[in-house]
Amino acid sequence: MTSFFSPALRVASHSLRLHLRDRFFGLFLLFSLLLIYSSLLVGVMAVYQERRALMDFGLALMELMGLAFCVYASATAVSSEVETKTIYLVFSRPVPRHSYLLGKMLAVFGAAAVLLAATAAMHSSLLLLRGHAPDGLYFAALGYSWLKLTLISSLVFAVSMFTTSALSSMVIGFILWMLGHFAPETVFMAAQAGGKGSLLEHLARLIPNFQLFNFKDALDVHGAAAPPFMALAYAAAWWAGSYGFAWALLRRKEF
Amino acid sequence: MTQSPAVAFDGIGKTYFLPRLGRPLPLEAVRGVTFDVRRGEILGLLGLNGAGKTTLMKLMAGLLSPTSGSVRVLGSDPRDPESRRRTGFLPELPYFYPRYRPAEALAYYASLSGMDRSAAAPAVAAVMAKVGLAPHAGKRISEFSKGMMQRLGLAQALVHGPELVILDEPASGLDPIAIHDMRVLIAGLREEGRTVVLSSHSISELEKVADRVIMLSRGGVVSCVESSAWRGAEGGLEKIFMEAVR
Repeated sequence: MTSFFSPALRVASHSLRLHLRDRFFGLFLLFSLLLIYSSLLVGVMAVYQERRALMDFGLALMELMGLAFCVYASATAVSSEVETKTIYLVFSRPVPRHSYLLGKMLAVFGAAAVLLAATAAMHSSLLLLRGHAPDGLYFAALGYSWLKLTLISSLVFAVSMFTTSALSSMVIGFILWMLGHFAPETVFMAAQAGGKGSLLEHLARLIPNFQLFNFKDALDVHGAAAPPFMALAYAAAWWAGSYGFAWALLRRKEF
Repeated sequence: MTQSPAVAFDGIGKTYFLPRLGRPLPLEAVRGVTFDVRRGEILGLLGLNGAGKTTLMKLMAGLLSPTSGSVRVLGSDPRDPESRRRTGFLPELPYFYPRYRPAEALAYYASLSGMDRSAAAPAVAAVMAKVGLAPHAGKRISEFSKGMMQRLGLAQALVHGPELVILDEPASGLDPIAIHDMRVLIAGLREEGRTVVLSSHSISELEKVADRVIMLSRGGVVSCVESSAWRGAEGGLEKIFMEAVR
């Protein structure tokens, strides 16, 4: 067990440090700061719904910034090491490929948590400035957003193992994100088009359902988010599936 | 009792399959290669571009699997973790994370080789002193010259104290002084009892440092020459190589 986790944690620790030092991480943070504080205008225009407007706008912004970073980081995590040949310096050492992949994924999950925490601190300061203290539901919504970001990250990792460029991995990642927010509707339409129990319907069910993580809708209106344990189990199932698929491809690759 | 060779290639072949529309295109990089690397020697691999030098090095480093034949490194399969723990590899034109300082990068690679923090710290300091990077410890890697990057590359190959050191074009892109310094470092590895395999297109460099040279052409071994054959001979290693590959 040590020979699996120990190299994974070493790779994760190093990769997390690289993500946090990456200029794109800093740019995402700066951009988030500007957008979050400009949402003051949205709050002003909403007049009697200022709290709702600031909450919705802020949480959505944080999630979108997190999405952009996670898709970029996951798409380039392994491909950048292949292009620069630093992957030779890793795989010529006693580092199993499955540990390396786990370490890379954990690093992106960790960087997503740091980004969300930093943007949440900015947003919370704005809310406090306007007299609206964030409560437990607010932080629960952040937790669900993090689960969504880790799920899309794991999918992009898997996709990056067979695409020929980081750009195509990112494009596929954004498409999956959009489809995932309409997963139940897509399954319904597939069943209508191909018939109940058809191959089309089964394929549509392979799209992850991001509506299960829309906890922010529960802040004022009851939403479709799954209970916490179910959301975590659902995300974990996708992590495991994506990891297994990515590893099956990585173990056969030669560099 | 004679020691087993550091590396033993037996009928090794490696074919790459290049992606094409329809059927992948096979490219035979190495075929039927058989030779040993003796313990404690400096073996040079000499050949033109595309001769198969890098492929053989990657096979030794456990980065590739052979299509045919077998390779043993220090008595084991090179893909075994234990074999890789005892081997150091310097790829051609190594790259390091530009925002790191050299000690940070070396500490990371030392940890990946299985060294814990208490063992890695003195090993990193020692190898930086050995390759002449100690005066530049405070610089970021982005500020390094080409020669310093190659030294750092050599340092990461040595930091965990490997028995076998594989160097792919270690003098590539270096100026004459840096080439001389690299040669002195490599010769020093033999004095320490390590086995070194290095590849080069530079005949003059191999002449000065290698104990034996394997000459490759189009994926096959064309000649194996001891240093006694070229030292003192008219034309030296260059003449032997030209006759072997033409």
